[in-house]
Amino acid sequence: MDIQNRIRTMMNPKSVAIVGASKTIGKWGFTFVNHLSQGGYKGPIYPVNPSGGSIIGLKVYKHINEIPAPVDLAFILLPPQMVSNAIAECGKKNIPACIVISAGFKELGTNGKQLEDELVLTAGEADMAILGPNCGGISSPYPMSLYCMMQPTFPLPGNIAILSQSGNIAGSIQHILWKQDFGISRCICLGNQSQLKAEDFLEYFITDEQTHVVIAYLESISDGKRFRDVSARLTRIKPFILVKGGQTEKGISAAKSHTGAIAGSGAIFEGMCRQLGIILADDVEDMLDTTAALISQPLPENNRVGIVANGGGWGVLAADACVKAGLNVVDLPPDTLQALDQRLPAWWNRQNPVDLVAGMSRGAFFKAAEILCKCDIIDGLIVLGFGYNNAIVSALSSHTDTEEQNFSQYINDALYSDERGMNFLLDLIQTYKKPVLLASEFIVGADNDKNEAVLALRKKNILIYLSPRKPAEVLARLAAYKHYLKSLDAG
Amino acid sequence: MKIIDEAIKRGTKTLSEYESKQLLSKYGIPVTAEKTVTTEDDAIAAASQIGYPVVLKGSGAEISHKTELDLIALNLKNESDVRQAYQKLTSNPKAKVNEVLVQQMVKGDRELVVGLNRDPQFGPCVMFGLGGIFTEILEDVTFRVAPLTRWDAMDAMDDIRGKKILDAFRGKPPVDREVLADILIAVGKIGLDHDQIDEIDINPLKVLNGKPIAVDALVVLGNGR
Repeated sequence: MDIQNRIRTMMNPKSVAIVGASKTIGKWGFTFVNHLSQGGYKGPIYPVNPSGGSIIGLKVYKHINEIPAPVDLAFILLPPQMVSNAIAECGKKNIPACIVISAGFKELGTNGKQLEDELVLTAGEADMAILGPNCGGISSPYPMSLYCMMQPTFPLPGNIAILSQSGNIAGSIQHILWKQDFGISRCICLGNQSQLKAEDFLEYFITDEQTHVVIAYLESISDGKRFRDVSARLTRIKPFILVKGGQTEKGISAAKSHTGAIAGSGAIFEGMCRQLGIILADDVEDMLDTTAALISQPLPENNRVGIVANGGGWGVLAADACVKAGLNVVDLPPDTLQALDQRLPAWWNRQNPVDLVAGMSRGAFFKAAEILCKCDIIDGLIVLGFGYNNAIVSALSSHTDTEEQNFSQYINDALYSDERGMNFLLDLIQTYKKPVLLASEFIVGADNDKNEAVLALRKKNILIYLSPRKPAEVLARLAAYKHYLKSLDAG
Repeated sequence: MKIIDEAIKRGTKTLSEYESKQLLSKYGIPVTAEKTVTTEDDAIAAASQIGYPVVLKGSGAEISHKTELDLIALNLKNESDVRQAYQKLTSNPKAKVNEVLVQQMVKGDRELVVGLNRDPQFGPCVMFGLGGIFTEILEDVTFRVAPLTRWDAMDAMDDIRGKKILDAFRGKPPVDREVLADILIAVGKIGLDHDQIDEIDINPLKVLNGKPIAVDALVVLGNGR
């Protein structure tokens, strides 16, 4: 069995069977059929249950061998003691891969472990690839629109691959990405990893063309050497962001030296990630904030940052956050200052952060961003307060026009100004190949307020962060990854 | 390696400080000039050979925390200092001293730590950080899995909160990062070469005129897992 080929089939199944499908709403056997159907799966769905009949309009087959056509992938949702037998039956039908959703195996201790060993043995005899058991399912939107997970989340096809040792977290990540308009390539819940393991999927992501960024939630590493090997090859070509749950299991009391005593804290894992170019995030939120930038922005050459603020305090906080995150808030060189002098009023603050005191024309705001992008000693930008004009409009739109006060003209200009600003920022990123990260309070309530500027930017996968601390930390992570990649080039 | 084999044959769980440094020295790690003696006269001879001031350390089987046991006499400037210290160490009621280590006194201007540990998943790992008493108090250390590339070693130096300790300060030159990198890489190599070594502590690794030098060292042996 070529494992990589089997995984490719698993991600691109032309037909799917759900063994242990149920008519009862609320049972997993129903939920998985329902989600697969709701997700618009493009191939035939074959629910299997001895009682036959139909589920949400799909014919139910009484036995796997009654399915009239070949099956590429089977999901198994049977009681644990029936799973091995079902796998053997799937083998007889030449189904190349099964995903075992059922729980009640190794995670429960000795008895479960026996069942799991039996399952692996049966799969081996049937030459079958197995994901799970105790698995939350998978999504693979492209090309078959396959969404077959515990949670009802349906992000569009995209380029983020999710790998998770927790089905719960995988579903949450999918939900968050979905609601922020980010697409995914694959979502894999690893379950107990009885046969297919995290490393097999990391290997797959290296060559999977749909995947541009890999994010993972892992609690334990089963094969340290292979994990290091495959991660090093992955991070050379695709960013790999990881959240590690749980600490390493080192008996701290057994250590005789200071080194041994300190080593139990997860510090080894952190160091190893730096050696492998893995971006280690503190939690899921940090991981996704970083992912958002990696999927839509170029990497900064270095850690020097320019900040554009639309007034006062946010600029100060942004500068503080950048310094704390290890970024270099550079002093602006004379030619950059002069260029800004020409665009800004005489009383501008003449330093980084460039503080465009409230009330400035929006054109100047975006022009200032461009001037900083042009500056050779700036590697990335943080721009604050985007979406302001849309917000102003909401306070004007209830008025009616009079001869003196042409409200509708002003409103149109303001909205157009934000739209132009958005396109301008997108152009800056393209033209200067520098990341431009945004923070703005207008993301809060943007959906309700119909802040079109903010929503449109989100559709372009440019995530606006709430406080400047976020883009500062994200930019620092991007710079560290670039630093790692450069070290590879340097040999 | 002979030092390790002999220690295992003796049934000891740690190498003595002297043996530990012999091992480090074989991997090019700078260590203090030192000699093991068992008589007062030999101590005097060793001290004049090494050059004053010197340090005397009492050692014996299974003695690993010398400071706590009052087994260290620092800054001995002449023959009479050495004689007094020798007598005091060998009559210490808290520990049975079999031999005395006469050692070059390195004042140094800062203390670092370098260590080795074996992770069950990732194998030998090198630790680097702030040394001396700060190792325990601040735990400002970082780990790298062996083997270390030069970039890994350099990156580790930038990865501690107190990294400024490596820069020039108060008229003292910066730490020679190239030499420090050599040391980190070498400790990783020791871990890869010798399965029988479970842990290593080089603490303190002092800095003298910018050059790191191992002033105390402990090698802990295991069962070669």
